Amino acid sequence: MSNAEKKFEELRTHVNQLDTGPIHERVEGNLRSAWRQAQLQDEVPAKKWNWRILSYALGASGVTALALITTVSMSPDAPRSMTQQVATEDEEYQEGYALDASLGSSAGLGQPLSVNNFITEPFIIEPTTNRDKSYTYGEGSAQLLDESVNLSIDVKDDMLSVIHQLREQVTAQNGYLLNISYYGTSGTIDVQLPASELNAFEEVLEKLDANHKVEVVDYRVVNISERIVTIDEDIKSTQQAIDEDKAKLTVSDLTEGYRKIIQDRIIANEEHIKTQNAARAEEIAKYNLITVRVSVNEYASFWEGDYYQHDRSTLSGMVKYEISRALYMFIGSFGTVLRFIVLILIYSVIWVPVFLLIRGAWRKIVRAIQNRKK
Amino acid sequence: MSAYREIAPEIVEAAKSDEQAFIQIYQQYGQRVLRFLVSRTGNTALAEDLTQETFITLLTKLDTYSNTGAPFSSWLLQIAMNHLRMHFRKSNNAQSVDLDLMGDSTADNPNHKTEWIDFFLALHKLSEVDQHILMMKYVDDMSNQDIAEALHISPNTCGVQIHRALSQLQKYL
Repeated sequence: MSNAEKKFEELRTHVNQLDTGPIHERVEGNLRSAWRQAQLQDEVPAKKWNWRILSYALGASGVTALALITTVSMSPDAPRSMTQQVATEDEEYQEGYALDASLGSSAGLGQPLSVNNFITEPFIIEPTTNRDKSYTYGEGSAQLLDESVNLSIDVKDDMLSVIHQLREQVTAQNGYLLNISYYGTSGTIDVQLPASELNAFEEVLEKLDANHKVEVVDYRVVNISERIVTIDEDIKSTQQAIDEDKAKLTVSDLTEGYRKIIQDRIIANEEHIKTQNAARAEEIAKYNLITVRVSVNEYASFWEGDYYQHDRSTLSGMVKYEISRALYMFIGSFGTVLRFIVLILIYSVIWVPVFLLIRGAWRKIVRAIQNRKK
Repeated sequence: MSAYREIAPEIVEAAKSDEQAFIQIYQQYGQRVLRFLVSRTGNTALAEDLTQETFITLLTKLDTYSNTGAPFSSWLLQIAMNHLRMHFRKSNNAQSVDLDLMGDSTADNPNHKTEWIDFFLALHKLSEVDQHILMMKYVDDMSNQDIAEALHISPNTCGVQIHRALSQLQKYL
């Protein structure tokens, strides 16, 4: 037997020789009273457990609610909206593209739209009076037409991506964006283009469309010749008034007061002519520009777009439809669950320490109760 | 073969709702737990407190106990070991050499006292598991099988570990 074993043997003897009787009596007595206290507490077990369960449940439900809210708000179907006034009528642009009227009115219309795509008849506003409203420029005369068209496309791409593509396209075609407005999966984009670029723009829209077909919702042509003629007549009559006033000023016996009135009137009329000339230039600028409003509708999703395309009247179409739909729903649900799990994990930096704190506090309470029992 | 008699499972089951059955468990295991703790702390007052805490824990946890075939004492000693561990943790893992247990034998003989201090210091150099293994084997007189079950190790590992721990202790002495 080694030294260590001898020492252990000796230690065991000492331990066995201990008079443990009084110790056991005390401990037994304490245990009996602890038992009774425990029994008393067990009579109201609901209260004991309620607090614990309640704290865990509150913590867990709080975190779950937070994760749910974030999941929903991060969902791709969540509404997004934006309205942006991109540009107003650009003066420089108008001047640069102001029409040489000798091109004639037919050139102003640009290339004709694909007739099959019209969902309503084109709307054309003709001059309202029987006066000769032909716009006269140099030696010729023409009808000035202001065109606007509403086009609609259904896209599979994301709305923002479509807006981005259209923006680039419009710039490339020497046009500019007027306004972008979208909410969720639909929106409108207003652009102004040289009328001759409309056809090319329409082709781009066809490529973006899920079915490669652009719907013409509305086509409006307004004859603005009458407005120009009215402005011209106004300018002419104002100029005549100025000439008459200038003639009056040559008379020598005018009073100083009357002379002053005539001079002021001449200045005011000259200003009026300037304003009217600007308005005239603006109207003419419209001639070669076409306003295009593109209504964009996004498919609910790529998958949804796919399965809706199957013809459900045939057996194979129905099978494809159901399989695609099931697959879509599975991926959709799986994605949501996955997102939810990821969020739970992300928020674990909050709830794990909270959980540990609650557990620690609970243990302290239990320990305090035990000490009180002693 | 275990040197100790285990309590009947029916009594353990009854102790969940019957005071007398619970006290019967204490009467069956109280002495063993007290000796277990006294041998590790060397202090009877502390061992008494820890014994009481062990049985109060048993009282609160008895509802969760289910008989898996392992001796009830293994579970009880696990609780006692946890309390012992908590005690050392509270005192910043400071293991003291308390010769209160040795009583008059050390008071009268200074050399004897030094021997015991050396012995406990050498013992404390071993890992916690090794200390428990040697104490269970040589002081608590437990079989390798019981030690293995109490420490959740295999009986073969237990045998090897006892041998190694004893050699190590012998080296430190």
